Amino acid sequence: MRAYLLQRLAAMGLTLFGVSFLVFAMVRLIPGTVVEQLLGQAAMASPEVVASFRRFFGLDQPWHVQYGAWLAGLLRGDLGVSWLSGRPVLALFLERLPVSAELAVLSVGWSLLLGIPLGTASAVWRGGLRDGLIRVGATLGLSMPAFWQGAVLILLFSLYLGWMPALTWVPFTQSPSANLAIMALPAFTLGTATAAMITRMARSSMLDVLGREYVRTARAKGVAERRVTFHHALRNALIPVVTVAGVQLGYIVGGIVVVEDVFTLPGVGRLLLDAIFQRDYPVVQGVILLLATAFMTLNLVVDLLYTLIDPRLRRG
Amino acid sequence: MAEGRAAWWLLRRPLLAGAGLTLAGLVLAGTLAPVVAPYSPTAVDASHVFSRPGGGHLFGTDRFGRDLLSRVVFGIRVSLGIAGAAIAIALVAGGTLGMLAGLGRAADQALGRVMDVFFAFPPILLAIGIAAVLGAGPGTAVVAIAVVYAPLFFRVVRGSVLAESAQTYVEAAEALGLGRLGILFRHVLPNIISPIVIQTAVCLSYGILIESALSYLGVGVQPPTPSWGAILNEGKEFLTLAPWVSLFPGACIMVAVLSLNVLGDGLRDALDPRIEMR
Repeated sequence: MRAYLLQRLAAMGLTLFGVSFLVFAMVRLIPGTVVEQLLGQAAMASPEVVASFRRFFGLDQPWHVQYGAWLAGLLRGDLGVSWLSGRPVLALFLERLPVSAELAVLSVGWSLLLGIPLGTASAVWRGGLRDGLIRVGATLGLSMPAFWQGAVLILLFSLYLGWMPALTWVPFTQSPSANLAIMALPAFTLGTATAAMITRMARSSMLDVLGREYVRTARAKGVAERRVTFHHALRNALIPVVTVAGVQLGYIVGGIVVVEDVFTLPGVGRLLLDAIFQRDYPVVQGVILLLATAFMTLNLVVDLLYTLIDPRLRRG
Repeated sequence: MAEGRAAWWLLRRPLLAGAGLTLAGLVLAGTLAPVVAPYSPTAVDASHVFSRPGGGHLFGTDRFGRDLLSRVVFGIRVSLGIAGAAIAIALVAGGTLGMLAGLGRAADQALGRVMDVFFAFPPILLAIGIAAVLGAGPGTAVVAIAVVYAPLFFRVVRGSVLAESAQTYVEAAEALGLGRLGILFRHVLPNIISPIVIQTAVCLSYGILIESALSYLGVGVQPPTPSWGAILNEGKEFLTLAPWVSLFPGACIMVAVLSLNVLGDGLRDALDPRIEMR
């Protein structure tokens, strides 16, 4: 187990190195240099000013020196400073993180709560009308773009039901009920595709397990069907579902950006989009790097969970 | 139970046919957009700003009085065109690299490490990052989507090549003295077409979703060019005032993606029941 963990951490370190290089290279690819972006017209006027700006940003150094300096900063937790506000990127990110983290946790939570029972039921009712309805529903859930689903929900609630969550943000610590009222629709929207995916996976995994010998043995022993389903089958069927949930984390982490835009939530995604439109590249760079790191870390955690749930994988 | 299964199967075949017909209809309407669309997609009409759907404007008009149906029909070209071009590039680039991974352990390891870097990003986030760097526009959207999905084709093709390489016919070809590259492209490739076809259908639906998300966020196709996501972007400020501007293009995205998903599932069942879901 420990060797496996070390091996995974080493692989993740290598990938992170590649990710940091890619993010670094991305910003170097921006048409025109940073200096021209910042100075605009003034850049044409005075070569001396341009030169001094280039020196200030370290752009007069060769790229590997620049990358080395940036990487050294990263290792110290220094992701650079926003060009717009002058504040450290890491501080800006951490300020917004609670909103996005809450959104992600709520979305994953409700998608598991909905997906596992629906998928299990669908497998038990295999071939019937109810199974058909659940499968059609799952395909619909996978096909709905989150930004459109969000818009439809806002319309439905504001125009037809006359209830609209507040547009000003309230932290959970200040008022849990007000906070959850704001978060309900966004979390529902972000979790829909994941719930659909988990439903499908739970169904096929459950069908697979229900056809196994040990399930037949349990039935032959006279174990009640309910107990066979929940005790013998479901516990084993859940193992592949964990993997799917892990893959879906990528959708959730990325979907945060879209859903925060739809519901105007002040999270990390909003920070990224604002930075893109204001050409605040250190913030763009930092947020993308941190979100990719978060995604990789979550994936690692899911893989470790997987080995914990499935004892067969613990050795070797 | 038996009747239920029969009903499901009956439902399923027309479902597949319906999905295929819907996609064909969309492609046809997009191709013939100048004939099908009642108005020009960019013609401004100050006397018909935010007309409700119905009458002279079946889908209503937007804030410039432009006919929404015409914009949605012309949007088919942009949205499906971008997704199609991007996935074609991803298929060729990712697929070729996946084949090359079958050359040997060193190539496989090196390519695998590089692809791991791309898999480390949530797909939409990588696309947004690329769009941010290259600047908004249709070309940017194509590049962004191609970069995001090429690694997926790499993985599918590589896995299939590895599985296929253990077959006796590959050993036989090797024994006959054929070159590795020749074996890969002439003998292995025809045997791994099924997973590639399934993956292409699934990725096309992702491509449409990512294009519309990028344009919706304002980093993809820019107004006045009508892509489905870009129309939604223009509609979001007026959601409660003119909901039709958001509802119709969104419904089109969903219908296109749904059809591709149904088709992908059907292909999966027909061609390869073992392929993993993603």
